[in-house]
Amino acid sequence: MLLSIGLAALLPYAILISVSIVFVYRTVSEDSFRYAAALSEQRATEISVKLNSLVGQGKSIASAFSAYAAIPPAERRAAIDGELRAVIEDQPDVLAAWAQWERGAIGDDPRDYVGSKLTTASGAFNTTWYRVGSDIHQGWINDDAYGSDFYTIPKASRRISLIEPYWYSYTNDEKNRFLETSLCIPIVTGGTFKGVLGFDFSVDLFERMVARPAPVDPSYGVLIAGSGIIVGHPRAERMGRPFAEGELSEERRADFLRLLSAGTAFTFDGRSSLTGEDSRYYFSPVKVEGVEVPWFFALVAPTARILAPARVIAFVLIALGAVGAFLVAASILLVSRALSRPISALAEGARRISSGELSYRVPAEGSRGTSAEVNALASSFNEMADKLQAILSELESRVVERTASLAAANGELERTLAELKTAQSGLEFSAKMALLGRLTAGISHELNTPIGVIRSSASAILRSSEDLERLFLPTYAALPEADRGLFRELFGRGLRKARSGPGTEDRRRKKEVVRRLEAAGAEKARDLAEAMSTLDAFDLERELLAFAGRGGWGAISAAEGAVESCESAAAILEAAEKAARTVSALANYSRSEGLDALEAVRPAEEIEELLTLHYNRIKRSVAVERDFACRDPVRGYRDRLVEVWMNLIDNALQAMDYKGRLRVSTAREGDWVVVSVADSGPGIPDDLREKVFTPFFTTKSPGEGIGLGLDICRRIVERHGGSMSFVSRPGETVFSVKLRAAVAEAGP
Amino acid sequence: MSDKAILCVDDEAIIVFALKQELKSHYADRFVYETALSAEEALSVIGDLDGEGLRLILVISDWLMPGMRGDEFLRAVKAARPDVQAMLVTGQADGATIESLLKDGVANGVVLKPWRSSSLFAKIDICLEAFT
Repeated sequence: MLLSIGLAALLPYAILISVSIVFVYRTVSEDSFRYAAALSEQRATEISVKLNSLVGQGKSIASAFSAYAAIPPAERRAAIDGELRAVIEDQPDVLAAWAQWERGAIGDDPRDYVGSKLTTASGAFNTTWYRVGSDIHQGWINDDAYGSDFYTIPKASRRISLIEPYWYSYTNDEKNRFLETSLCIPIVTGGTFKGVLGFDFSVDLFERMVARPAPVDPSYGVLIAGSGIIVGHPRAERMGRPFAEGELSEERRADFLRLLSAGTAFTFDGRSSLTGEDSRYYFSPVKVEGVEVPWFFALVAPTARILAPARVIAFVLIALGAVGAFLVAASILLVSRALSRPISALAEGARRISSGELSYRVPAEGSRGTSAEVNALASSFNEMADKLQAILSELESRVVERTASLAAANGELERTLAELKTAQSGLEFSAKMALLGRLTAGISHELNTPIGVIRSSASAILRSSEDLERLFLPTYAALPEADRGLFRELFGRGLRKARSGPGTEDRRRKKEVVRRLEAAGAEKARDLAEAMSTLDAFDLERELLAFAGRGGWGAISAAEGAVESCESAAAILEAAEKAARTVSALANYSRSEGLDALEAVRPAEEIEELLTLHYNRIKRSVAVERDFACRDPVRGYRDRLVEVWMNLIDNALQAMDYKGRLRVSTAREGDWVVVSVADSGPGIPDDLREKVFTPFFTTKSPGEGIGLGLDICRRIVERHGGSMSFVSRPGETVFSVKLRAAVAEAGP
Repeated sequence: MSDKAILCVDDEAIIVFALKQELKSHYADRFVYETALSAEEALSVIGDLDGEGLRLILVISDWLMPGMRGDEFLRAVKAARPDVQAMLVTGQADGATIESLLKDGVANGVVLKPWRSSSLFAKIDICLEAFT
């Protein structure tokens, strides 16, 4: 990681160095090239200055010559001769100084001089001074020279001209042969061409110019005339030869000549014929007054040498870059090693600690190789590990502690739970027993009452049956025929009354009868009244009184006994019914489904029947209001619904102590038939309202009920898909039962 | 005809009927037998009896009745007529209650439902000894 970061840092450095090297190399080499070019130009300028000074001298001499008219004609030849001699004497570079005149130009007739010294055959004054070694000689120019370039070119152009180099020997021998060039200056006076003044130079002059110490060894200079002939070259045999020859391939020569004729500076690369090295040729024009085709100075420098400084700098830069890169890389390596070793140690430490080896510590590096920061990091790491270990051991001890206390608490809880369970089962058992006790008490009362009645009535019947056998039949048999009708009447009435069950005695009526009979002095008035009550014969008071008076007492008693037996039987029947109802209530309670068939039941009619049959006895103390606004049927189990109505009515009566007002009503509410039973009792206390429908809840004392009534009612009503509710306040408590109305065709 | 009256009180008609029939068949003309279906009715009957020249000697009352309970009723009777014997008929009352009623003299005897004729008569006879 660190290494790659280091390398990533190194890469831009390398790129920077490379770019710099290329830039510097290019800049420096360009500078070198420019310098070489400038040098070439400078040499060319020097040469042209020198040549131009020669031209200037020539021009001044020529202009001096043009003033020859002021000299007397006889002295003109001597004056010109002197001038020329002075030039050759003063200018060592000049090999020859000459003048060639038009015929008659200097104002004399050449024919006058024919045959004289230093004249042409025609006598023309074409004198020349020339140098041979250190000696100066005088000679003359032949007449045929009038047709040579030296003369015709300046004459035609009227301009100074530098003649292309040529080989010449003044002494006409091979030994003193020079490669020379001539500067030819036309002499013009008053617009008239008079002749040509000329100076010959050895190309050695140029060679010397060229041979100046070169700025870059082994570079050298070459001077080329306008025609491409070498006039200056370090190698003598090359002088006078065309430059292109031996220096350039055939195909490049044409290009070269074209560049030369253009007359401006140019360069080209090639292999030097002198050094054999790849070189660059810097051609700079040498501009000389009066020279149509410029000469060129060529600086030939080996490319390698020109580029040497650039290469040196580049090399130095590369070396510096490499050294720098190496140093950077080395420091990165060192730093990364220095960092990665402690970091690896830290990582190892973290790995070991995380794998549970909490006692592991990162080894101290000391000062060697690691920085203070890394050391600090390591010691922080170790500190952290110390703290971690401390925290863990504290946690462990806490866990142990907590586990122990939890175990203790758990044990405590288990014991408590066990105790609670025992207590609960005890409580549940006692609650069950209490409930069972209550239930048993209720049931036993509900059953004992009818059993008592049955037992008592059955005994009474048994006893009276003896009387029947002993009294009834003999008495009846003994009755005179006239009284048998009355007896049958009394007996029949008594039986009819008895069959409807025990009713309330009409004490008031009996009392009246007793008072009346006693007032009339009748015997056994009370017995008679009692008999009338038993036999339902208050309207037969007179007949009975008469019957008793004529010895009918036995018959009356016999009839009473028979009727009372019958009443006892009726009481037994009712008691049995009551017991059966109790048992049925219990059975229904434990039974979840009715076995009866669903039928259309009309609550209004059922309740009316109930009130008539079972609640006659309450008539005196309770005002019963019936408000059967709805007589629609509901679908249900008739017997179960009867239980509901009876329970509700019983509860209502009990709630108001059998005194007050009982209101039973039916009403239609949408799809529902609502049956309400209201009492005028004290109302259900707030704290008991929630318990009203709870099984075995009762406000009745033991013996008054078993506390299942409303729960049974609710179950029955809910099984019918209905609901039960109540509202209660002091003076009125209304229990309502909502049952779904049966569809019309379900009615009877 | 006797001028001594026995009053039977119970909220259930068949019980007072059965009691009356039983007493009648056993004691026959020795007493006049009156019945009432509640304590309140019984108190009015007692008033009537005085007017009829009858002497109430024994009240046999159910213990658990709507309205005034049997023991309350007997207390009231005893308070007004200390000479009247009182018997309680109960299907429920526990031993301790019966003990305290007997101890306080509210009841002179207690008959448990369902009663047997023999024990009923035996207890009534004990009460009646006070008048013979």
